[in-house]
Amino acid sequence: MAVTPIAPDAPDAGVDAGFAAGLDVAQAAAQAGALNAALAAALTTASRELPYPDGRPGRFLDAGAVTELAQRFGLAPRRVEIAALAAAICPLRYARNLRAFTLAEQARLLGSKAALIGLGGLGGGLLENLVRAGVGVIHAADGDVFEETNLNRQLLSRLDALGRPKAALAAERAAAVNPSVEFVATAAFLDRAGMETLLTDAQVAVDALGGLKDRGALVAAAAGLGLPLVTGAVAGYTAIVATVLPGAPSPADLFGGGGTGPAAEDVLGCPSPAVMAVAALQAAEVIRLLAGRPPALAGKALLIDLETMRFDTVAL
Amino acid sequence: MSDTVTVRALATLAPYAPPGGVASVGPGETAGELADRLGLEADAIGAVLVNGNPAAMETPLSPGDVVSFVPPITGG
Repeated sequence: MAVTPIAPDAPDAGVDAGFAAGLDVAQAAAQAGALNAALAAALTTASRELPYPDGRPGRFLDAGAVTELAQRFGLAPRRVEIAALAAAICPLRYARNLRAFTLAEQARLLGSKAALIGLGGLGGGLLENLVRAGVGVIHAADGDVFEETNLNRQLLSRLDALGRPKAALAAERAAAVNPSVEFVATAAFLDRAGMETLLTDAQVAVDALGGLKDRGALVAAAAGLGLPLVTGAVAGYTAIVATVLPGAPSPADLFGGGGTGPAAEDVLGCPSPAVMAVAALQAAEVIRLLAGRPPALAGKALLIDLETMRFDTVAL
Repeated sequence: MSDTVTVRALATLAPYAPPGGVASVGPGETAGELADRLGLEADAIGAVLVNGNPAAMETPLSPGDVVSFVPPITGG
């Protein structure tokens, strides 16, 4: 079952619409130029000057103005935000990203796509971070429904949503927090072919799976498409985060193990602080990559022990 | 330096850590022999690290090494 996309894409400017109306290339370009000029003027009118907390002058566009301009110009909201950022106008919702991301990096995030496999503990925390950061397109999949044992750690789970699909709750959350994000969630467990479809046109694949069963297929799907894969795993207060570049070793090769006993997480559980910490660390790496920065964890794994608050980096 | 190594036993392996996280090490003793001495079963160990680098059960230990035993970790 596919959950309805929240914000269907729209033409970038007027060019596609121009072709659809049977205009020639020059007419379409002229129409696009006029639209861009009109949008630029509207962005200036709808935004306001305010200082950043460090005193720098800034110009900001609030969420209501983004919605209004998107409707007026027939654009997806994230396209309005990208146009604003190009004019050095910061959508107010990203104002406190300050210099963590430049305006150009913020625009790049809004123009990017992440593919997220899993909407449970790691996936819920990842989604929250990526949606708030303004990752423009997120396609996600999880075939599970929420159950009571998820409530200890899974951000998207709620007592009043037990039995409902994780994909549906994820779509509601994304829309409620940042409607500029074009979020599509598939309520299904994906095989390798399904993962490849989900990963198509993404710049980063994100592993929020539990267990080893499907991780091999995801590593193969990401490698086949030449995508970096940001992965994480938790057992008790011990956790691992890593970025797997195509063809490079995965932490599952080192830490997955071939033991015959019960998995460590089946003995120790997955407590919320460990799950949320790993989701946040994975999100930081995903956002780095989508912003155009080099990965911080390529070829290595971050080994985390919250019991002792020790963080070690291990070469894979 | 005394002939000891620091042992970090993570997650489900934590109960096998020696007192104070320090174990004696004999000449040429390997990570696997140390694991045996600590009561760690080989199939419970996902990875062995020596001084933060991936190692094998056959890796010989030297005094002052930091040996980490990590079980398979795959939850989420």
